[in-house]
Amino acid sequence: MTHRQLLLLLGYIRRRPLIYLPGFAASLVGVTFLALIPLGIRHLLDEALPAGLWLPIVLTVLGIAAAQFLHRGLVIVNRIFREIADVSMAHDIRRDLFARLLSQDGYFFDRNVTGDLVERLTGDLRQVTFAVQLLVLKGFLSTFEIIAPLVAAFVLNWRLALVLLAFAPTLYIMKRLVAPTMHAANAADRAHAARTREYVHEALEGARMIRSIQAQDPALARLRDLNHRRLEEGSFRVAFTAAAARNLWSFVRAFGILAVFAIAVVEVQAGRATPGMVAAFVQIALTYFGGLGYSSDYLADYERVAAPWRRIAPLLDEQPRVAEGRERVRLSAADASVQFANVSFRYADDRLEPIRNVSLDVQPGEFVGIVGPTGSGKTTLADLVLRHYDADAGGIHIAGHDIRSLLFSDLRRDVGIVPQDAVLLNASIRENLQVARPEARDADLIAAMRHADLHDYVASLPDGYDTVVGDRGVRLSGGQRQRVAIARVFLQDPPILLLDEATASLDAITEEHIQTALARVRASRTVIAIAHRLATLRDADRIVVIDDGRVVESGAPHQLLERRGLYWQLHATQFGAGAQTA
Amino acid sequence: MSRLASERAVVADLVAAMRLGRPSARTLAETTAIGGLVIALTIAGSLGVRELIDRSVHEGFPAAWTPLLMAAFAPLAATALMTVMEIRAQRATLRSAARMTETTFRHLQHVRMVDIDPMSTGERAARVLDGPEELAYFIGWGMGRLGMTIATAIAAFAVGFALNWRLTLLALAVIPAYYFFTSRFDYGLRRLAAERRLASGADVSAFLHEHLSGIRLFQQHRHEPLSQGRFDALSARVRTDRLREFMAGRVAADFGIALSWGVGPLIVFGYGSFEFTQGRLSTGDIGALMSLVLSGLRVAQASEMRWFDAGAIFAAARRLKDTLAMPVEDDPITEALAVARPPSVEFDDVEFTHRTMHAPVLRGLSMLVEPGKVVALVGASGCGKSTTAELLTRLFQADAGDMRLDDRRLMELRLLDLRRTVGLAAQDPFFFNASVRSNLTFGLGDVDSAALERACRVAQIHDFILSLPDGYETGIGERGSHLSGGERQRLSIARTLLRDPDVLILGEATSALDSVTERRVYEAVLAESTDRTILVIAHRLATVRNADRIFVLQDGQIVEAGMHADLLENNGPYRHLYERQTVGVN
Ligand SMILES: Nc1ncnc2c1ncn2[C@@H]1O[C@H](COP(=O)(O)OP(=O)(O)OP(=O)(O)O)[C@@H](O)[C@H]1O
Ligand SMILES: Nc1ncnc2c1ncn2[C@@H]1O[C@H](COP(=O)(O)OP(=O)(O)OP(=O)(O)O)[C@@H](O)[C@H]1O
Ligand SMILES: [Mg+2]
Ligand SMILES: [Mg+2]
Repeated sequence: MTHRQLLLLLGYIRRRPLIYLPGFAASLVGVTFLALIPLGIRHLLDEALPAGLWLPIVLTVLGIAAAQFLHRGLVIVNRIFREIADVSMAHDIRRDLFARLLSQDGYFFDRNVTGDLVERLTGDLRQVTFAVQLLVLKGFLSTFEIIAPLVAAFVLNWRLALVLLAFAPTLYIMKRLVAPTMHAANAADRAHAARTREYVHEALEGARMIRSIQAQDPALARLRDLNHRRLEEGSFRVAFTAAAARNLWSFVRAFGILAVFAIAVVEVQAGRATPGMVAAFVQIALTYFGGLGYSSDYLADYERVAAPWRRIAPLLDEQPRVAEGRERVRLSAADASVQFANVSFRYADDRLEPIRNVSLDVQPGEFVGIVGPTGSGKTTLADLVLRHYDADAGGIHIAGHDIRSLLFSDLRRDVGIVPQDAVLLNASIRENLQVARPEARDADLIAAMRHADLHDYVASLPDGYDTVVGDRGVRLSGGQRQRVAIARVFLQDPPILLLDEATASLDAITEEHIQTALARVRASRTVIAIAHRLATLRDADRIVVIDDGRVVESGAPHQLLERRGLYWQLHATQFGAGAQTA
Repeated sequence: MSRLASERAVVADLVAAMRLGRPSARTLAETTAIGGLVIALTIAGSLGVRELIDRSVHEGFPAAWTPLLMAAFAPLAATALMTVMEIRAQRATLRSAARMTETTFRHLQHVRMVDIDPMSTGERAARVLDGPEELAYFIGWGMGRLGMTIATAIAAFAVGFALNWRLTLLALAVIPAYYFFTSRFDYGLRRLAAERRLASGADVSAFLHEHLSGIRLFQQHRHEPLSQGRFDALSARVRTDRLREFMAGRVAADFGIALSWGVGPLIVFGYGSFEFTQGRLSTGDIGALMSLVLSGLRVAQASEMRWFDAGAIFAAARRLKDTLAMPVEDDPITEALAVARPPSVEFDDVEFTHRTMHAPVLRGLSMLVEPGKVVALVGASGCGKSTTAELLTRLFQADAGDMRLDDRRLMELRLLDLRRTVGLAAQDPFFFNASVRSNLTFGLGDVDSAALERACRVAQIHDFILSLPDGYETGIGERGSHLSGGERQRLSIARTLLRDPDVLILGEATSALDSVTERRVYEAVLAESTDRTILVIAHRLATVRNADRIFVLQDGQIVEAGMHADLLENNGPYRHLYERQTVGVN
């Protein structure tokens, strides 16, 4: 863990300091009882029993039993508070992580995979908070399990106590010996766990595809392989190193006990100790070395925290590359212009530039069609306007405002999009629509769905708007999913509208219905529509042809046909040579 | 259900789960043996202690050496053995968990589409990943600790007679008492709590998955505060559920456990003092017995850990059972059957209703595609085109009517053969977050590069792939998100072609392509497909103009069929559709 990561973690411990108090208190008191037990044993064996008086014997025995009982009881209390601290801390971190993730940009989500992120918020986090509580509360407890017997030892016989003390530094040596291996094993284990979850997510999301190519067996084989690698390179080694550390430790303990007993023999011989005292020392040594042994578990616990925390902490510090502006605007239809000025962009350093020096002026109220070969950069333009990415050079202005200066919420309220791939949630149709306008009432939803030509269908379903559409909306047809996305933008009702292949999955008649609804809306709106199907753009004021990230043609459809360029070529293949005059 | 019956059902779940995890009798025997050794060594340690206190401290060295070494190193050997066992148990646990993951994963890959569709990805993943671990702990516990506990009991009796049998019996009564208290948990309560926790855990995983993979939707609609609110509530629920589970039915049992730790010393020292005054016990005996009781309790405690988890284990077992009880796809035929290439495809009066709908999608669909022909299926959005394709690959089962490939009913074929015969390039293709190559060759084993490139050339994507930084080894992002819509579709076509199907279905597979590229794709596919039957589903009618036959689907039936020119003359629905796509385009 870096210094910064450690601070972050401590920050979460400090956030609820009071949660730890009862646990600490329980440990302290419990350990005090523990320290009393050997003293009681010595008293019983050396004094009460030889004296043969019943009352002191009974009292001492009861005292020992009560101390043992209370000690265990307090250990349990400690455990309960540990659990409370654990779940509370997990809750705190989980929320912060989610907030961070919500504000990330396209660059981030290009780099990070859902399954891996989910693992960080679930598996990794669980491990961190669990082990942190071990470190904090059990750690505290075992520190006292070391100190309390030491104190008792000094009370009984300082020479014996010194022998015990001499074994404390071995802890440090142990850490140097085992830590690096543990570290590597834990890191590998977490990485493999994430990879496994990522794969399981994907292979279950793609269950339909896997089935239709009958690749279930290879899909399983890949999981087996991942599991195997996780076990061999991660989990087994984690288990092994932890056990090895414990074992190494009991080696130390054996020598410790040897030393204690040897000195005890000498002490009794010299008349400085009694057999009862030796019995008490057995108890002390066992507790003391037990405590030290726990501390060797620290190491394992520490690595159990460090490895997953190294995966989580950077997320908490993650700053989106696309920085939100501060300016507030509210566009009206009259000033809803969109301007691209010499925009160039690439997704990542090792990729080609999908957008090269694009300049484009869209006037308020204008309907501009964008066409171009597949992969020419059309969707990318829309991504840039909505600031999922930022242009590397040049700028984009909306109503004269540089979009980089605007609040995301204003920008995305005023610029609506029907994306090329509609995203549907596994929820009811109503909830799917309400994402666009949470306060929308049924009447609004129905109106929007009528415009999107889907209301009649939904109304015909047994559960109507409460029909749950399945994972990613699989229980709707492709065109129906797209129409849900169109209805969303009708609900949002923005002055600037980006339509990215918005009707590509629709038949001509349904498309026409929607076009009619759109045309009404369009009158007072700026529309940029991307389409391969040229009929979609027949009412466009202007068509811009993009090829290889550059604007290569621009003008009214008939002008472009006359130029006999790329547009003409696309047109000819779609309608045949004869259609030009049709 | 009566409590007993439900307990019995739970035990049956558990046994079934154990069987899945496959712990072997040999391992159990081994752990029992090692456990016995551990106990013997622990006893040797205690005897050493007694010897030391009673005699050696008075006699001094060298007589003291033997008990001294015994006292120090017998426990060391015991720990070493226990570590070995612990590691073995852990390995077994982890292996079982992995195996159970694989079993549920495999099952879900075979579950009927109607049952899997409604489940969100996050939930599917939670079923695979989040139950088995808990179950496996149980199995690991059984293997690692059960043997140990059995051994404790045996060894304890043995030593009892060596020291003071009355006291020993009394002292060891602590251990059964301990088990008595720990078994006082209300497992029903704990299981319920655990089930709730597992469910809310799955909800979190599903919520996260949906939000993170659809993040743009939420960002676009400025939904972040609402999403955050929902997540906070969900997270708080997980917190509560975990605490509830931790505490459920616990207090009484915990009290009992603490009590047994107190009772041990009480018996040893109390009764021991009595025996001492009677001269039947030495100081050393008492010390030795005490350390015996403590190690006995420690062993009991180690095994008790898992009793606490029993609720979770039962809950996980039930979930596992539920998952495995989901019916799998019907695949009754075991014999491989080849169909002639290219086969004919026939639909005969097929009817089908989706589960969430009242009205049937297909009502007597009949359609004959002659071998080697290229036919098109067109119709309004939602009329059932994709459904038709899915019926042909038996992703769904028709309610009535027959479908035939080359005169064989679909049900006469193994799923494997059927789906190898019929290749579907889908509307919304799915990809792994992996390289181009591994996506294309997924499930095929070794594919030689020439075949791969050929398929990509036909799909008009080869040149693009070469332009990527690492060519065929370039990663394409989750679901292929680093690609444009048209690039994904072409990859999907290449993936299907690579499998060389006898029947190729292009289901809206080129909707995101510009018409020039689309035409190139079709020309190349046709040139490549002289012995293939092809079914094209498309809205853009330019795409299907050249088909040998065009079927128009409406109201669940074929209402019109013929070549483009004939259909235009027909002046029916096709012409109507066609005109909408061409009028007004100068
Ligand atoms: N997230 C990404 N990371 C890297 N490259 C990307 C990413 N998204 C798109 N690209 C690349 O950028 C180029 C332009 O993609 P874009 O999606 O803008 O194309 P498009 O014009 O919309 O194509 P289509 O008509 O096929 O949808 C493509 O070559 C694509 O591979
Ligand atoms: N898994 C499903 N569960 C319930 N209903 C479904 C399911 N899949 C499709 N449907 C419904 O069945 C009907 C036919 O769907 P299908 O996907 O076959 O249409 P399609 O002709 O392919 O339409 P499109 O052109 O829009 O893709 C639609 O009304 C759709 O909502
Ligand atoms: Mg695009
Ligand atoms: Mg479809």
